[in-house]
Order: sequence, then C-alpha cells, then structure tokens
Amino acid sequence: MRNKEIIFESKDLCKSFLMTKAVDNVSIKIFKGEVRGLIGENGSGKSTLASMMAGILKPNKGEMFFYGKSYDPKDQVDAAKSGISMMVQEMNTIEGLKISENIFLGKENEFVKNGIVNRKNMNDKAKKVLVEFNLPEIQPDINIELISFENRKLIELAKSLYSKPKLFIIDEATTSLSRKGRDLLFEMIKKLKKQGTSILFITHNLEELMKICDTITVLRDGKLIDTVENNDLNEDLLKNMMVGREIKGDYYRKDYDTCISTNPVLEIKNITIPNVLKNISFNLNEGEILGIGGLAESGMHTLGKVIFGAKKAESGYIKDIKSGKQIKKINDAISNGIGYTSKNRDQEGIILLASIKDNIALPSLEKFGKLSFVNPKREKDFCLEATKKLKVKMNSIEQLVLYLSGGNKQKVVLSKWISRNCNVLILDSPTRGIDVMIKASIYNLMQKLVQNKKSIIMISEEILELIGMCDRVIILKDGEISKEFKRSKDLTEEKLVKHMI
Amino acid sequence: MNNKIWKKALISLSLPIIVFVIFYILQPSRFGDLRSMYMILQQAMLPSVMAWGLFFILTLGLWDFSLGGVMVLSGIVGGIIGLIGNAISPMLGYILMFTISITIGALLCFINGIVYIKLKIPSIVVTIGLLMIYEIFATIIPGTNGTGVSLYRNLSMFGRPPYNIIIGLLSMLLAYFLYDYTVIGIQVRAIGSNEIVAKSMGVQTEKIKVFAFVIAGIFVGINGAMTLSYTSMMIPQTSLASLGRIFSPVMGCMIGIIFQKYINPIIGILIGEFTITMLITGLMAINIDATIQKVVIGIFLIIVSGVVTRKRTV
Repeated sequence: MRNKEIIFESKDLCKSFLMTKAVDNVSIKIFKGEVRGLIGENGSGKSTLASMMAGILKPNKGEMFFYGKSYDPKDQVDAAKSGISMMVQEMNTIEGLKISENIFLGKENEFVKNGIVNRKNMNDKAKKVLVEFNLPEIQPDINIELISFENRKLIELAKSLYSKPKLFIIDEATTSLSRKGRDLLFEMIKKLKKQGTSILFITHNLEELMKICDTITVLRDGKLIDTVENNDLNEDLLKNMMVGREIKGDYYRKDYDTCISTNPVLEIKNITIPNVLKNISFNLNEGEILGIGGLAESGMHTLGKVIFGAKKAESGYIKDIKSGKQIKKINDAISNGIGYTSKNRDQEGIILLASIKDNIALPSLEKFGKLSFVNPKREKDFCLEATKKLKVKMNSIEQLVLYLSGGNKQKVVLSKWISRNCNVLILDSPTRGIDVMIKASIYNLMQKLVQNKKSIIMISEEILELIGMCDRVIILKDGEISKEFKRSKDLTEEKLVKHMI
Repeated sequence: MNNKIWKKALISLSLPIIVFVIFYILQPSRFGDLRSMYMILQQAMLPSVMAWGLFFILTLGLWDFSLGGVMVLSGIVGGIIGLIGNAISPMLGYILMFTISITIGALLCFINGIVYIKLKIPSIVVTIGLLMIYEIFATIIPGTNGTGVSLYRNLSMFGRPPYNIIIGLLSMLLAYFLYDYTVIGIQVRAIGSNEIVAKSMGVQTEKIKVFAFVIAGIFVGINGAMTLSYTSMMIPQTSLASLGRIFSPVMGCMIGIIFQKYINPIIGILIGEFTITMLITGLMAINIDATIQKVVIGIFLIIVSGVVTRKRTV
C-alpha cells in the first residue's frame, strides 16, 4: 500500500512567459516514496512545472509546500539544499573539468583543508560514487569530455543523487541514454523508491512511463487534466488525455507489401574507421526508408556523419549514383541533394541563438539572390512556406529557435532540408525527445516523402520505430553489419536485439 | 601508461626543441650555447609571471588589456616605497617593493573585476578604459614629476640570476597550486567552460570572476617588482603604449592553451615563453629586423596552433 504522506504540494501554481501561460493553476500532490509520471505534449507545461519545483524558475502565482512547510527556493542550489534536485535533458556536466571535479562542483569545500583541495580524497570519493552507479571502469581523474555522452549523463545522475534528495525530478533525461543506461536508471529509481525518495519522471516514452510509474499526471496546455493510478491506464487512454481527443493505436506505417524500387540512389562501400566502423557496405534505394539500428556505441551515429561527409572514413567511399560523384565533404552532400539531421540537435543541428528564418535559409542561401546579395523578401517567403508545410508552432519567423519546444525545433531542422527538396535524407534519432503528436506528424511526413520517391536513412536506437517505419533495417554491432531485415509483420524486437548484443 | 607520459612530454617539448635545432643549424656560432640558453630562461621568466596571472582571466573566457598599465603603476609605487625602505635596510626595501607592488596590482585588478561585474559590459571595453586611467595615474604620482621611478641600481637583486629564476619558479608553483589545488582554480575552469551549468551547481560566478582578476593582479604586481629590479627604472607610458607589454604574455598563454592536452598549461606557458624568447633571440642571431621578428612570431603561432588543432581533430 502506497505511503500517503504528502511530501510536495502545489496550490494554483501559475507561470507565464510574456503572453503565453505555460502553467495555469496547477495543484498537485506528490507522496513519499511515489514514482509519479508527468506527461503531456510539447508545450503542455511539464518542464516549466518541474523547473519551478527545482528552483530554476519562479512562479508568478500560487504556492508550493514541501513536507508541509512553505517552499520558495531562491535558486536550484537552494532547492537542492531543501531536498529537491533535478536532472535535465541537456548536458549538465562541464568539459575541461575532471570527472571528480564535475561530481563535486559547488561542494569542493568538503575536501579542503588549509585552503588546499585534497585531490586524492576527492578522487577516492568520486570512485566510490562511480562504483555505486555501476561505472567502475571510469577513472575519476580524467577529463569528462574523454568519456561517452551516455556515461556523462550517468555521471550527472550520480551528481544529482549525491545530495540524497527527498524528491528527485528526471526531466526527459532518458532520451540520451541507451538501453543499458535506461535499465540502470530504472534500477536506481526502484532503489530510491525503497529508500522513501519520491521521483517525478517526465518522459514522452509512454512505455517507460507505464513500466516504472505508480501514478501518472497528465498536463495539457498548462492545465492539470488528471492524475491516474497506473493500473487504470493504457497507452490509448493516456494519449487521449494528452491531446484532448481520441487517438487509437500507434502511428507507424500500416503497409507491409509496398513495392520498393531496386534503383540505388546512394552507394556506401567498404566504409572503415579504425575501432569504429568495419567495412560497411550497402545501397540506399529510391523511395525507401532504410533503418540503421544498434546499441548507442555500435557506430551507427558515426556512420550517419560519414555518409553526409561530416566525418572522414579511413577507407571506402560514398557515391551519389545519379551524378556519379563521391561524397567526400558536407558541401558535396548538400550539392548532391543530401540532407542530415543530427542526434545532438541543439549542438549540431540548429543554431539556437539564430532565428527560425536564419536557420531554415542557411543551407539554401544561393536560392535567394545573386552575387552574394540576398533578397530579403524571397528569403522570407521561402522560410514562411517551409514553416507552413511542417506546421511549426511559432510567434514569428524572426523568433529565436532557442524559445521553441523540442518538437518544433526538430521541425525547423527538418524543414531546412525539405525546403531544399533533398532527394536523400539522413535522419539520426529524428523523434528523440518529442511528444506523440509531433512524432506522428514526422512519421507522416516521412511516408509522404518516400511516396514522392525521396529516400531516407533513419538511424535510431528505438527498435519499435525501426520496425514500424522502415522498409529494411540494418543492424550494426561493434561497427560491423550484423544482420539485415526486410519489413514484415513478423518482425519483432527480440529478433533485432539478438543481433545487436 | 609510462609510454603515454613520455609521448606527452615529447610533444610538449617538441616546440622548443624544433626552434633550437633550426637556429643552431643556421647560426651555431651565435646561438645554442648553455650561457645563451640560461639568458633566455631568465628573459622568459618576466613575461611568464604576467602570463600566469593573465591565464586565470583567459580561462574564464575574458580579457584584461590593462595589465601592462597595472604593471607600470604598481611597479612605480612599489619602487618608490621600496626606495624609502631601502634607506633603512635593503631587506626592508625588497619586502616593501614587492609587497606594495603586489598590493597595488591586486587592488587595481580588483577594480577591473568589480567594474566588469557591475557594469556588465565586455571585459575588453572595461579594461581598455581603465588602462587609460591607470596610465594617467602613473604620470601624476607625487614626487615623480611624471617620470616614474629610478632605483639607481638599488634593489636590483631580483633582476639577476639566480634570484630572478627562483622567484619565477616560485610564481609558477603558486600558479600551479592555485589552478589545480584550490576551489577558485576548479571554479574558474568550470565558469570558463560552461558558466550557466557552473552557476546552477552553486558556483558564485561573479565572486569567482573578481577573485580571478585579483589573482591576475597579484602576478602582475610580482612582475612589476621583478621588471623594476631588472631594468632599475619604470617610466610611465600613455596613449595605450603599455598595451604592448601584454603581447608576450598573451603568446605564452596561447601556447600553454594549445598544448594543454599534453601538459599542464601553467608549465606549458613557461615552455611557450621560453620558445618565443628563444625564437626572438634566434632571429636576432641571424640578423632579422625587429619588425620582421614580430611577423615571424605571428606566423609561428598560427602554424603551431594549426598543427596541434589538426592533430586533435583527427
């Protein structure tokens, strides 16, 4: 029986950003030892609510209580001292610092004697923390940028839990973790729950939510719709609550016998990067969605970059069949009608501090003028058309991309290539960190593109997505092609996973 | 593991070795003997001391163009008080010269830090503005008639070996300790890499920035006293002429930053200053004009950073 002690409560909490009401009179109760899921579409107010709880943002109205006492943290540090800490989606560790320095940043005084930081003690304690988080192979005295993105995220988890919070908020942090990382996180959540720590788990992954949460709160347009026990839920009901209308079933392709052309548009031959990729060869055919799957470190993300010319292979080549030209650098790819969306959208796919217009126009500037002059009207019309096609939710075309939701940022990334009329799109984790509605619209878009004889390479760590959307799926393991599967009703997760590990 | 350390050591020392070999081949009679290397080491110490201080500011991602003016002003005031002390005893003279120079250096850079924090304008703008003020202050110090200070060969111990090298090495140890073994050093690096994340982790970013400026001021004060001890006089400069005094320290910092993957940047700075000084000496040995020397140094820096960056990318 769940503990009924309320540890956190909000009453009529409100937060607005200019004209937009992000959180609208939300009253929520969280109980001791509870794993509460928080779900909603992009822009529903989940992250804003969590940020207020974690001291990152201040509410405009309403009250918060923690263990029955009034709770109004000055900042994140104050919130952590009170017992609420948060792990965010973005990278929250600092390059240039050692792992031990990252773990204890802001708490160095624990290791100071006579003004000197005792590095040995710091490293020893960091080692204990790493072992506790199942990362014994990582040395605490190396610079953090030398370890993988996933391990950095796990170190962030360790850092957030070091202060032993009573309420731990996880804000869409699982999107950057592999299966192994997620399993570790879920194990940690179970352990924390047993210890009486409450968890607020924000994710777009309904499957995860239903697997791990005791109760789920649904937000829509800043308002709290309902809080439901997990036992009473199914995915369709959740989606309905999120969107406010009936949505049945999933959003993947329904066809299984579509005839795919055997005309190749791109030839990938013997691509090798020592210790990363080994003799990767395959063709991409016209009008097909080719999936590439595997574990996070299988080399598939690097392969995407190599095909786009963003990374150099030691041997092998990529050839555009129509022009007969090899793709050796990014400009070759773009001029041969190839577009690419990176897994690390905010760092590699989009310029956050530039406008929607500047981002969309950037790869297509030659279309708007002559002799280095850009015709502003043509540029604006082009970009408006692109945003209309993908239904980007924005205030204006001049709005900074930084202020868009994750799903709309992804739409901007896609629209810059689609508006170029690319024949080949390499999409790396295109639906990462995106809500169900925008996911569905991206899948819909992909289907329309291939119907118009465009070709797509979709690199994804989500097996269901690969099974649901692709005509073929190539599985990479340790940098090599392990197996290729054709689209089929009988294709299951187990069959793919068997060749990944 | 040992192989890795040797490899890193070799890469870090490759620059001075290459420069040495080139000039030794070109002019063996006028370059490369132990005595000239010893001279080069002494000459490299002066800009290194300023470079170590400047490095804390550069690590934050900021600039301080006033350090030349701070050095002159702190040196002049330190020298004047030092001479007064010297009249009682040379020991007192040295203590006062260094203490006052360091205090003035720290105070002026504290002002730099506070003005930057409060006005929230770029550090380049703040420090160039303050440099102009410090330069004028140096000309109106009472009793100097605008001509600065002359030690008349007194208090010159730290301008000679081995004392200049000893104080240089002690400064290096201080910088190394501050950078790697103090909370300030860790937090300076954190802010420089990602200020937003550092702040969210509880780092008091504004306070640390001011501290970094003060640390720079301390090293500039040491540099001021050392320079005065070496040259025996410090003359005020105006119209931003003292800006040129940070040229060499900046070069050293750049080399320290470029090689920081292979060696601690504090040590890298000394290697960098030694290499630049050796380069200048070598160019003089082969009769290259002073103007051309600066061009050569600029090209040298571009090539070095290009090669090292390329290696990192691959």
